[in-house]
Parts: sequence; C-alpha cells; structure tokens
Amino acid sequence: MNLTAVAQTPKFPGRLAHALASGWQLAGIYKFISGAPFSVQTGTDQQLSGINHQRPNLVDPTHVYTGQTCGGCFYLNKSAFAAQPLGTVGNLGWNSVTGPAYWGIDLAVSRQFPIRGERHRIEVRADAFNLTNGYVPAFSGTNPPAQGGTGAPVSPAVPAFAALNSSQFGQILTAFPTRKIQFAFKYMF
Amino acid sequence: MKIKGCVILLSYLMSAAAWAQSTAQIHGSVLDPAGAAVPDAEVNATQLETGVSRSISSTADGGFVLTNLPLGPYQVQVSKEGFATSLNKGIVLQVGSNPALTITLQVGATSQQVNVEANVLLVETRSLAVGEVVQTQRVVDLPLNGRNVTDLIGLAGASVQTGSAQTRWFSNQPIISIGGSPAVGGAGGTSLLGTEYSLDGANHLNFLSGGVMPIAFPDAVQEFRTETSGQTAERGAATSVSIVTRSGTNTFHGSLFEFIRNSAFGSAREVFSPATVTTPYKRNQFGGTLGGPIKRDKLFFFGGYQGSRVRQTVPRTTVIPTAAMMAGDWSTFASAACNGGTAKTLRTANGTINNLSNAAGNFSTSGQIAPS
Repeated sequence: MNLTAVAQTPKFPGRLAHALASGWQLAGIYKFISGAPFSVQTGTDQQLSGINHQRPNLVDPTHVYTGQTCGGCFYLNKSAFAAQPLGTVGNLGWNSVTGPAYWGIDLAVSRQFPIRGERHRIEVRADAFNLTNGYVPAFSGTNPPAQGGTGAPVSPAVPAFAALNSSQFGQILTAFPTRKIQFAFKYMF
Repeated sequence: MKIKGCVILLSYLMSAAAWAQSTAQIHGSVLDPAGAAVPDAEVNATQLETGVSRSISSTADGGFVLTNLPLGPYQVQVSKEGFATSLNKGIVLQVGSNPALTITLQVGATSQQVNVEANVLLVETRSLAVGEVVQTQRVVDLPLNGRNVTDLIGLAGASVQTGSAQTRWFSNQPIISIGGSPAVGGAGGTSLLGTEYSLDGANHLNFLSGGVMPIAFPDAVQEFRTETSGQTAERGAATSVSIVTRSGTNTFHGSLFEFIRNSAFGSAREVFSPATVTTPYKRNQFGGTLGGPIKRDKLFFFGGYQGSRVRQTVPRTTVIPTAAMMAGDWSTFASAACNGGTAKTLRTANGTINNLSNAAGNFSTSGQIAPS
C-alpha cells in the first residue's frame, strides 16, 4: 500500500503572513508492504533426490511465529518445523510462511521564494527518509537468483533465515536504514 | 557505395529523431449537430508549450487518429466548410495516453469559433493495460533518497523492489518486481526480462542483468507510466515502465540544484544495534538543466547534468595477528582450545609438518618467518 501526497500552503494576503506562511510545500510517501512469502527449507538433502531447496515437515502449525521482531530475536519458531524422514517429501506448503512487514514514512518539506517577479524561484528543501526513525526488520527468505552465463546453473545457498539446519534460522539480523536527512537548494526559471 | 552508406545512416538517424518522445495519440470522431459523421473535416492538434501542430482530415465515417504526438498540453481545432470552427482546450497527453475526443460541430460560418473545454475522458477505453502515470510534479516533489527516479516505480500498485543488481558497468540498479513478474531471473526456469523498460519510446533494458538501464535524474524526467497487467500487443513483456524525458519549449526554462546528505543529520545511532555509531556518509548531488527553443515552434533543445559525489566509510571485519603471532609463536593459534577441540597442524613452507602442540613452535627461529 502506498500513499503519496503533495500539499502547498496558499498565498496569504497579509504581509507578515505572506512572509511566514506562503510558498511552503509538504510532500510525503507512506508505504506499507506486508511480509513477503517464502518457503522454509531443510538446508540438507532429506529427500535423497539431490535437488536443492526442499521443504521440511510442519509439526506445529499454531506456533510458527514467535511474535518477536526485535533485532537478534528469533522471528520463527524452529520447533514448529522438523526435517522430514530421509527419503520423503516434507508437507510444508510452498511460500506458506511470511516474513515481517515493511513500513516507512518519507517526507519532504520545501519552501519557494520568488525572486524578480514570479519567473525566477529559489527553493530550499529538506527530505527525511524514515522520518520517525522507526525500527523496521529486514530479512532474506528467498534464494538469490542463480548466476547467469553459460553452463549448468549453480544453485545458490539457502539463506540462513530460511534454512532449518542453520543456527540463525528465523533470526532477524538486519534492519532497514535509520532516519536519513537530505538538504537541497534549487534555483529555477 | 560510401555515399549510399551515409544516406542510409542519415535516414536512420532522422527516423530515430522522429520517433523520440512519441508515445501518445489522440483519436475521436467529428459529428454534426444531428449526430451524423462529418467527413473531410480538418483536425489540427497544437502542443501549447512548443507550438508544434499536426493536422489530419477526418475519414468517411468522421473518425480521426493523430499518432506519435509529443506529450504535454494540447488544443484541438476542427474546421469544416459550413460549420463553425470548434476549438477544444484542456487536453493533456501523458505517457501512453490515447484519449477519445468526440467533437460536435455547430452549423455556422467557418470564421465563427466555438470554444469548448474539452471534456476528455481520462479513462483509457482503447487499452486493456492497468497502469499508473507519475507526472513531473510528483517526480520532483516527492522525497527521493539518492534522486533515483526508479524508486517511484514502487508507488504503482503491485510492484515492490526486491533488491539491487550489481552489473559490470552499472552498480546498484534496482530490481523491481511488478505484478509478480520475475524482475531478474534465470533460476529454475523463470524468464529473464520480466519488465520492459522504455525511454522516450525506445527499449531501455540492460540485457546483461535484465534490469533497467540508468534513468535520467528527476529534473530531467517528464513523467513515466508503470503498467502492471493486461499489456497491449506492442509490449514485449508482462509488465512495462515507459519513461519520457523532458523537452525544451518555446520559452527558456532551467534549474540549478544541490542536494546534500550527511550522516551528521538524521539519526546518530543505528536502531538495530544502539551501540553502533552511524558510519560517516557524505553525499553531494549537484547539477542543472536548461531547455528552450532553437527555432520557434519547430526545433527545441533540452539538456541536463547531475554529478554525484559520495564519501563514506564502510566497516570491515578483518583478522589481525596477535603480538605472539607476530613474534612467530603460533602455538595458541594452532591449539586445540582455539580450534574446537582439535589441534591444527601447521605446515612450514618446505612442507614438513610442524606439530606445535609439543614444542615452542617458534617459526622465526626455524627461519620460516623473516623477522621484520
């Protein structure tokens, strides 16, 4: 979901009000993306098929998520999954697990000053990305694309977040950037 | 033979120039007050910013199509002997738009003029594609980290940035998945090139990565259109992004800008691990644009430059030998306690096994490490 808005203050009639309040502009983006679906993978060849990216058994469907998204916390409950017996196919559905959601607010505040009539303008502007400086967990649950080129494709490694045999399974170890502020100066005619 | 080659090249260049920026059209029909078709009426569309105009006659069924029009505000004038001239204003062409215009002529002298505020339906009736246009004002006004226009593609529904591509020549080009299409693929039989990018009507794909090639900075982009499903036959992929750069007009316009980002502003510490101080980052982006007429109503120019300068410190993890190792004593390094219970066997350069567990293991005394 994306919300964008650009709002400008009107031209105020009074001299003081005009000097203080006219020409301001607010532009914002609010973005919310629900967690991307991905598959938990065994990380080992349980099927004995030689094919990578095998899904395990789901043993406890009600306790897949721990409800925690803090840095270093385990977002997924490892005991809800179990590597299936050798030579069988796991019963976990493809892309049946979703990662933590993303949200962010970016805001730009700017003010225009007309010089020499309306034709020339100077704009002073400040942009803030992740305005609230909120903590937004990041994760990588899908396999990176295989390297192109000639020859047989090389299967990339399963990311630790999705690999059941990893000690970092379901652990949140990265986050989206903190608040960044950018200033700008612009002259237009 | 040489001359012929030159002519072919010249005609090719001219056709390319004619094709540039031509991504919209107007179609419609001309009717008389009774609703009957008016053939052979002269339909003239004029771009108001550049004054460039195009004309066509309506066909036997009163229909007309003006193809390959540059973007921008238009007025359409329709005249026919025996009818008052109809002047339709307020038509704005965006990327890929194809508005339908139904013009009803009033009976009167041709010198008479009827002004109509053209009520063009912005609902696309000719194309099945589901898409969204992001216009100049939004491109320039919305906050953009790094002034990368492609960040705004994600504002269209059903698109999400899934990462960034490192290719040989262009670093950090975003990978954007639109409408669930594989933005960059190759693994497991997924198709490459899931999204078709075009710049000013021409293909703008990086065929090495399947992603988009660099796009001009926001001040040089007129607008772009993201289509997320139901593509028309002219597209080569399931989803598409059409970008149109700005062009000059009959009046001179330009800008100068400087954008600065500095780690001194914003947040002092990382949210993820509050003990970590934000690493230094300084970015300057500067440049300008200028556009105007070369020959009024005929020929225009537009140019822009943006320079980016980034200075940053990247934290790295590295291994530094201890004082004992520098002195040649590697026994701690090779010990069982440091290697998960199994002592490491170190070999000297001439291949003999130097078991450090029962000796001082001083490499420098055996001449293997030259003391500095």
